[in-house]
Amino acid sequence: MSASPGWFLRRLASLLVHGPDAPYVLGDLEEGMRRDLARGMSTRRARIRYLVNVLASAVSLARARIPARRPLRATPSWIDVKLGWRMLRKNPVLTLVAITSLAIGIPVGMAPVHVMEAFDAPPPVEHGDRLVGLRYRGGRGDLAATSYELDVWRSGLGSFETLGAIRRLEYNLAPEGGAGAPVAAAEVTASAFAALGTRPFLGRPLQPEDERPAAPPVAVLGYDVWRSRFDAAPGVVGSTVRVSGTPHTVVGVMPEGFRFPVHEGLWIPLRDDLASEPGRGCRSRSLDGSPRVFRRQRHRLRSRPSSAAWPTATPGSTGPTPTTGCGSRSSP
Amino acid sequence: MDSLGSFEQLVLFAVLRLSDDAYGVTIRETLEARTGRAFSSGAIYTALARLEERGLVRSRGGQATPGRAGRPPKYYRVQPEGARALLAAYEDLQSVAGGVVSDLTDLAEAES
Repeated sequence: MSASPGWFLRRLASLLVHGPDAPYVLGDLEEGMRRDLARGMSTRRARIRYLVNVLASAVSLARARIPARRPLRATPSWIDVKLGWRMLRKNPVLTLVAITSLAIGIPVGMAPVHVMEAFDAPPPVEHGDRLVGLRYRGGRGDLAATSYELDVWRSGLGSFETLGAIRRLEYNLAPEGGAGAPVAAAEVTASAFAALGTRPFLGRPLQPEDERPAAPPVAVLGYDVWRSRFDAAPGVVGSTVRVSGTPHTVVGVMPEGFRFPVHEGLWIPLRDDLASEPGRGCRSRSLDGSPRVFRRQRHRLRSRPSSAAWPTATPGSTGPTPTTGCGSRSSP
Repeated sequence: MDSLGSFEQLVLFAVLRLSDDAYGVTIRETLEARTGRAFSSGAIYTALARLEERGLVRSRGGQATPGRAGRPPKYYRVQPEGARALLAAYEDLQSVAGGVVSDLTDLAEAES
């Protein structure tokens, strides 16, 4: 057997472990397993220990992200408590059955609701409930949009307040002259920041001119990254950082709690020239890494927009039906 | 100054003991070896984040190594404020426990 935790456990760890310290926890998990094996532990036992550590770490980090709440002050009547206690003692079997039923029934009944809420929860940004993802539905499942289609949608859809595109990646982020560390990052269009409506804590967000191929590389930092990697230095805006070895100028820091689309802490411009090549709007030429296109509506989504509201992404056509053979368009 | 929790005290002692080699893996191994209990990496980082927020420890990034899948470790060092808080907690415990440890041992070893 291999001395590594394996693809599945690694993937599980990266899915479950989140937060500003997640890269360090994931690194510790790797090193911890190697040390266990070096001490003569069997691969199977080391993997079990790895898995237990992943699950326990995920719970600890998730609990740390929940804001502390004031304890509830219940004021039950003392008579009610006494009567209840007497009834419980008088019928112990009934009490046991009732408690067991509640202990099993409540979690089982609530689990699907929590799962659905987790999937359906809007991003933690201002007016997050107005953000809707856009994608094609083709013969082989959902397909991501190209930036050419993003350009068509931007110019043709009046009912959308703003359109943006985003691609999630992991980069190595290092201060100039300092040690690098991986960080969850996203390449975004400048319009994405406008769509989200969140103002930076320091500096400015990405702007359309930052997307030009010849524009100097710039980056926007997340609040947690700014605090943990740059010691919350107020002069970080204008400084140079290395993003996977390439110097970028920091132009802004987003406010505390801003994470988009999931838990990213670094945003750089999404640069692609497909929008300038109208003939390249088909699925087979979609961008590497499949950027996700989303829109922010003027009002919270209550019903699906009619198909007549959708212009085609086919070059040179303005009708509602695509004719490129690239898959049929679906409402979000 | 807020008091330290028992787990935070253990973590601070481990960081102090490890000196320049205090990072997630070594802190966890030290705690497990000396207490005989299992601790998750996430719990240790959560405690260290709280301690760093209070200015009791300070962190710095290390160099990425292949054994960590290219991810660098994060080293911690106890700050003077952390040392004072830990010393105060330890002296409180010693002060209250002084003179009753033998009774405690007898009681713990007595058959229930």
